[in-house]
Amino acid sequence: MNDACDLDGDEQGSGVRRRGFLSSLGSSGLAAAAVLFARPEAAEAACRGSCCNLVHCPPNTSFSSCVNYYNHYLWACAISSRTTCRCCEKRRRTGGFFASAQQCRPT
Amino acid sequence: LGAGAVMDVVFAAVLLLLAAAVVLLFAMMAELAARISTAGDGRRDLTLTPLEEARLGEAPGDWPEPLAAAAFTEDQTLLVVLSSACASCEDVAGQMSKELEAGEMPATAVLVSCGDRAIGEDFVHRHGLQRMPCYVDDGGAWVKEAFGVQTSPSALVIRRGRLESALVFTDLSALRAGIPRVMKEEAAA
Repeated sequence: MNDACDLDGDEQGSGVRRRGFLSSLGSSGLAAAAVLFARPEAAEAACRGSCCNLVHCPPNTSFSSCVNYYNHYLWACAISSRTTCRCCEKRRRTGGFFASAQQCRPT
Repeated sequence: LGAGAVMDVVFAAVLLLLAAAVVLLFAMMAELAARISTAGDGRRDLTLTPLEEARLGEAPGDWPEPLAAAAFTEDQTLLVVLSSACASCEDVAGQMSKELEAGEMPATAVLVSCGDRAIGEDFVHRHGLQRMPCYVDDGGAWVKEAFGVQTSPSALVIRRGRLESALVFTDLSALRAGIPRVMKEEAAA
């Protein structure tokens, strides 16, 4: 008994070709976006645009993870009277920082 | 190809265009965010904002040695609070350095908060701030404990060891010009 998904040979062949065409269209779109926009400088620019002078830029941890870490340095900075950022760095026991995070908000 | 297949291809192409438009929109927003409000870009905010976290009237009994002499004068002293974790503080430290070189630095001391003493000391030496009363505050522990301050760049107005006013600023000249007016407003309030 045929159900709704059963197709004859020609229809199956054109379905496979169509899927192939669509998947190649999708992957070339993704590849083009990655080539055009996946630049580390873009993320770094977003970090440098804030007032935090982080050791790890772009930030490599979440803000909540950083402030909950037992050994962290937390400080607020102001870019202007309208924007304040909180800058957080996770400290090694032996000195230095191994992770950074920031949170900016309008004041 | 049948009509259904053509519709699928058209739909896929439209979807791809929409996705590309969204990616482009986010990329433009990131570029815009990177270009505006960059510290030290020559367009400083001249506004002075009261630092609400500061405990005005506080007079700590224990001052770090490099700041003690400056804090206990009859005239008011400006204690500028900077941090090595703050990019706008680099700009303010540059402004202070220029004032020092021009020999135009009225009673001013500086406190540099840092997460690591070596980074704090590097900040001080890069800007030549050791030429004025200067204290590297590891973790910002002292200024947090003494006045509840953990924001920079900020200016604490000190007279006879007591905190009279606290302001957030980004332009040193605007700060010096605006302090008398702010103090008058605070006294009237």
